[in-house]
Amino acid sequence: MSSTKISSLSAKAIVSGLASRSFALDDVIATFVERTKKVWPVLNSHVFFSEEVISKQVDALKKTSNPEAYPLFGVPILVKDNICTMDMPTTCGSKILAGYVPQYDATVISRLRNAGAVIFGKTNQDEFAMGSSNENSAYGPVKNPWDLERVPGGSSGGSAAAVAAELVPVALGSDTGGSIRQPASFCGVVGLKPTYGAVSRYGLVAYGSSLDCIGPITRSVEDAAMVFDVISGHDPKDATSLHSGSREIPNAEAMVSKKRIGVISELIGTGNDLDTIHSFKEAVIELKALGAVVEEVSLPEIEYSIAMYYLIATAEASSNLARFDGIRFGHRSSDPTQSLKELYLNSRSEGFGKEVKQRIMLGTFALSSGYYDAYYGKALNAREQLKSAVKRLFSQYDFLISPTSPTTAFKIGEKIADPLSMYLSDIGTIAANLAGIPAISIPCGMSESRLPIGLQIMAPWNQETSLLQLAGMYEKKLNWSERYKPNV
Amino acid sequence: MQIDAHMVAQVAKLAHLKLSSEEIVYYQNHLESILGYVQQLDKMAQSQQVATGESEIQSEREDVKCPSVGAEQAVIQAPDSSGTFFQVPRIIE
Repeated sequence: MSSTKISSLSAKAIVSGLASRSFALDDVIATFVERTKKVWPVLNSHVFFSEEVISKQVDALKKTSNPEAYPLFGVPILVKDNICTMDMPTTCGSKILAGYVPQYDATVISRLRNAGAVIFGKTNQDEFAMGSSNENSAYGPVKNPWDLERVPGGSSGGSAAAVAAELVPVALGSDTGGSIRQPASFCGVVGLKPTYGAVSRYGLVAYGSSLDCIGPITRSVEDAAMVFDVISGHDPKDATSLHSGSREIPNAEAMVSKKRIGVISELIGTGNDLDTIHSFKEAVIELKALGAVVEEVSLPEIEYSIAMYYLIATAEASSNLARFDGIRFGHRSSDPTQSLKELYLNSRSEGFGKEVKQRIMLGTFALSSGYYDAYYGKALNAREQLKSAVKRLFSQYDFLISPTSPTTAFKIGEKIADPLSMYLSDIGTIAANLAGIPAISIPCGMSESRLPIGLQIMAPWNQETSLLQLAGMYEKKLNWSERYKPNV
Repeated sequence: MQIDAHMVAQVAKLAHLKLSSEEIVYYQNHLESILGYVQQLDKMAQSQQVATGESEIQSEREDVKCPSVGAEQAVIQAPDSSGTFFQVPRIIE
């Protein structure tokens, strides 16, 4: 099989091709290594790539006597740079962690390695996952493979861009307010944010601990399901990890028929561009054709979700990022005459970027005496109301849908000077994090200027199986990834 | 909400950040705009529900002692260490 064909394969096809000896493990690895070396510098999608580290993993895999026992045997997987890997640096896209190599693997990494995956490198991201465009990385912005003048979305922009450009079939991202789904939408790939607690956060460098989720970015729903199956499950190392039950796969055709789907009316208004609304309406027609009952529902609390998010996430971040003080790891200011207090101040001020400092200060303000009740307390109360409203809707509907993002990918530099306008682009995705429910973004159309558009499907807590089934049915009908590919 | 330079400097102090005078102006403008936006939460009727921030589907983990990385491993990534201790500037003369 030619290298061009191998790079287009799904994770599932790689596993089965290796099992049937249609190609060898060395062919797979060489194909993705060569493609990465050619395309990575164009996209700036990676912050770490080492053929030596890859070779060590491949040599270990070759010693296994029964590759069939490994569900992801030989699959190259990229990892967002805020997930700890003990054989590669973990910088979170920040200068403050430049060169930091953790002493342990995150639970998701151990699970991927145990499943036979090859960790192929670390992807660029917005610093500490704070951003929606990947322009906040200390290692430079990532470019969208569909249009190199545009952003790939964020904060998991490197992961989404690399999967779209076929540098790997799978990458891991993290999603605190839409950081898997929005870049998946901008890059024309599939992004799954699981139920909060379904995938262990152990080894994920914390941003907003009550919101953070790790999930897969892939080119097919089937691959997302395969990877979710490997990385999910209870982990005693994460205090918020769920004890999930079995995930039996129901009959897909029967599953979609007669299911009730609510379109969130507040997310299909004037804030969307015309191409997005057009593709979304086409998606509704397709879902109806699959037998689902689709109708508009109102979730007025969602209009306040950005305000809730930027108080709760930043409050948690201000506490989580207090650990970066120049003492235990990361950057330390080099002034030999400084006092201990000056060392803290200088190390943090030199190491953190502009947006991270802004969010730390916003969170510090929201938690400070005199403002706590008026800001953080109010946001927590509003979050409870949003959760109750979502719960009420799920008593009547099986799924909720919306465009993933109100627009297609915007130009690099277009929104960076106005943080509020950047924050507003997350309106579609934040509610799923605040409520803790699973949600997926799948490609549903193309704009006139040939930019991908994503459909977001949300499901009740722990209903990833039915979410993936519905997404898979829709994907099969649309056949999007077979029709469109970026020219990079 | 009006944010003045003094307030930005005060918040930066609490957050252990040192800001230049240009940065103070930059963050003053941005924080004022963001805090003005989030004040829309005032329009939402506050429910009597107690907001704990905790999830309904999570349960608390038992407090069990578990092995961890040793002191030798813990100091490996420290910018400065001495034996199994983190080295910091002198605080007592």
